[in-house]
Amino acid sequence: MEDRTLQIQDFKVDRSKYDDSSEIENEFVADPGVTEKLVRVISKNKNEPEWMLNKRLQGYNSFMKTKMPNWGPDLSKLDLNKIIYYVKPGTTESKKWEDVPKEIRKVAERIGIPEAEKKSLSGVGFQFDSEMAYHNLKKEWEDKGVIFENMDVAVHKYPELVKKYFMTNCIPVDDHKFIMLHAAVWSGGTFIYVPPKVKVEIPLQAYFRMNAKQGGQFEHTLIIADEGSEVHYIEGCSAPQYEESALHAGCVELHALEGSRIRYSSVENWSKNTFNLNTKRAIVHKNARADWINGNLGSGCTMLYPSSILIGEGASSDSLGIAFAAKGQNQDTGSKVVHAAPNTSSTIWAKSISKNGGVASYRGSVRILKNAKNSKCSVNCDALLIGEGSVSNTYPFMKVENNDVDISHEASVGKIGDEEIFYLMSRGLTEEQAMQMVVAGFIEPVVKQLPLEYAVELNKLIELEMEGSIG
Amino acid sequence: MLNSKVVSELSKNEPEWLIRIRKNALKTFEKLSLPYFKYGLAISNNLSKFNLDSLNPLELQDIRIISEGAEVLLFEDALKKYPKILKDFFSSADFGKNKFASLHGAFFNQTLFVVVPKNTKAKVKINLELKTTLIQNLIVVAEENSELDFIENLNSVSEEFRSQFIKVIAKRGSKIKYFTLQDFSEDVNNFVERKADLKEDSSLAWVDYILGSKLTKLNSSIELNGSGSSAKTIGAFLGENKQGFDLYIESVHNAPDTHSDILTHGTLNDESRSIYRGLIKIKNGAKNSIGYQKESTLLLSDKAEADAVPKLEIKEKEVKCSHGTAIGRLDDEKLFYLMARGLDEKSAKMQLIRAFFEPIESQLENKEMVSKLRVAISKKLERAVK
Repeated sequence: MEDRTLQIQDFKVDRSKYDDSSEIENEFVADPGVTEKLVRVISKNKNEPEWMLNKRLQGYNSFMKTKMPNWGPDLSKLDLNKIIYYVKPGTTESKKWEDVPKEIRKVAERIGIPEAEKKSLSGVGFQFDSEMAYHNLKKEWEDKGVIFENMDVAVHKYPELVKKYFMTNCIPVDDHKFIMLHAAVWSGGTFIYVPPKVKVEIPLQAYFRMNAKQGGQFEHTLIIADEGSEVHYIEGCSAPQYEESALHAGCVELHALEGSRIRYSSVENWSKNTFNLNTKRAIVHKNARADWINGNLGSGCTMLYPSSILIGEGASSDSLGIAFAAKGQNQDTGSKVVHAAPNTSSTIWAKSISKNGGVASYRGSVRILKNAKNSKCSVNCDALLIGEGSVSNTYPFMKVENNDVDISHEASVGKIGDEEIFYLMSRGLTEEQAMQMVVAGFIEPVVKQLPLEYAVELNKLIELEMEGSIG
Repeated sequence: MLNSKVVSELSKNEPEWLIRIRKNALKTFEKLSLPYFKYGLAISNNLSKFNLDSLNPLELQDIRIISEGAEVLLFEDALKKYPKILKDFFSSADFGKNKFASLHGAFFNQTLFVVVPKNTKAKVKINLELKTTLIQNLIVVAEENSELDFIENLNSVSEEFRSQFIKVIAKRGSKIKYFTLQDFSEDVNNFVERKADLKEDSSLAWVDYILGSKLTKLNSSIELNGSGSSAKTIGAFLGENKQGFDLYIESVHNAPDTHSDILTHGTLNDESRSIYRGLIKIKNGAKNSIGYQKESTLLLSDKAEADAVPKLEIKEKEVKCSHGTAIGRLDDEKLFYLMARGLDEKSAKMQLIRAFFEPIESQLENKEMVSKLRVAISKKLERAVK
């Protein structure tokens, strides 16, 4: 343990290591724009069964017919015809770290993937642009029947499970415009299946890296926790800084079957010209639980609202989120819960920081259906404004259709108190350090829920963002 | 009954510019279909089947006004004395917003103008017994350093339609208390669009008791345009049977050192329904502003439905702003406690409901208003607690 603490102290985050791009030989780069031909090429490239191709085509056709959403942040700068929807780096997936191509390995090592695996993970995956580069699951868990696989491979290896759960009742293909697009061009991602009663005690992790210029990343994550099982999955995301905008339209589906528990954590640190239009949803069955933990720091524009649909009696869900909007960033995040069964409960805790002209919005929706007797929901939003021209918005929607419930929502917006800063400065800190400390205290409740490495990374990233925010 | 003939009849003695406004509104009215209001993903208020056939704007409604210290004028006199304010009112009213607003713009049949002179204390009481279609404009101006106590008492005898556009102008240093007790019968459709413009160091307290009506759609907006101004919007609604309340309340801080407070408490029994939307907006530059918003709904029946959307839009960091909302039921534990102390179930429930409205009561300075709320609670909620 001591050894570990030491390592953490050495842990330094250098923004440049995320923003750097790498010279990688790509095996296949599609032309910008999405066409039916491209969809067929992707499917063929992956040697997919007919039903998956049909799903892709259904998504493509609906996508072409559907208009852009007319609410939320401005998406007019997103030119869908300039995005490259499929990039295949010159690599096949490896099980051994040494087999990963040198350049990709360098990137991964710079971000800290293998160290993390050695330290405290049950398994790890690393996706580079559209394809998975590395995937490994510790033998112990493999023996117990846990599946941790690249989504592309899972389509071939576990067709029954994938057919049953992939974009069916959780996030259907026609859900919204960007899900349709996702369905058409999805590539890579993670597939996890945990057999009944198996408890995966240490987290599984995947890291997604967008490297290609004007790239689009459309990874699909599907997690099925069978009855009475438990799993914690962590995802990290980053992309280098290019001049052209990039698009991330991922999709995360969680199926928490009876009595199971899924905890999903992600720290998204896309470069500042990325549009992060991500969809995450969980179907929570009887007495099961789904927890969302999200840190959104990067990207120019984020629209992300992790949702939980509580369909079984006694189901519950927790959602914790931090959004950090610096200058030029628009973080439109929130959470959505539908209580569709009796005795269900949920909590949402959202914290946002807007700095020097950044825009952070909480947009949430809570729905209690008629039969969801004795349900409880509490929503808490806190916003911190730093610097001139920063904006904080709160848009909570609540709809209650029966009277056997307890719902509450609370929000507060404020700035860093002068007294707090004065106190810390009188203790010998510089103004900048004092500010950083107050901000760290503000996000502490969320950071606490993250595994140590991620908590440290998040803190360091925020420290980095806070630099030079005085005056 | 809603056609251009009626419009010409209503505008017989009106100046050209106003006739033009009516005609434009009529054009919009004829073009628009009845609205299906959607607020966010799941919340909606469907008025697309609303029946407008029985409206008769030509039949005029009498109204009783008691005024002490204030000048109360009808349209013609107001036009002579305050043409600019009147013109501003009509040209700034958004009659194109939806079908009901355009209906108002084309067919309004009453315009009242209330002015409180400088440095004067005034009291105005309006008693209305609604007998026919009333489409009313109301302009209230409090001149510098004046004080106004304004009371609206609303009742009805039959199934009617009422639409009201209100504009309140509070000049520097003036104080307005505006209290509306709406107790229409449960077949009245009631639409209110109101705006207030608060100048330097003025204050406005808007208090609403929403007891009656089949449907009340209230849009309330206060703009704090002068530094040091403060506003309160306090509302209590008590729904039963199939009553529906669609309330939108906003405070817009445009100037520094402004203070706003929105407090809404309501109970819903039977199949009644409420939609509450609130917004605090703080513009960049409105330093040292304080905004507060709180909404609570108590559901007394299984079929009642409550929706809430309390929003914040903050563009200035030197502020304090918070909001909260809660939707729930009578607390079993509290009920048990009171009953263990010897109260029967009915009185215990009544106590809890009274306590629920306590935050509203404590904001009221006027004893009469407190007692009216208590009477309304015991009258309207008797069935709910039995």
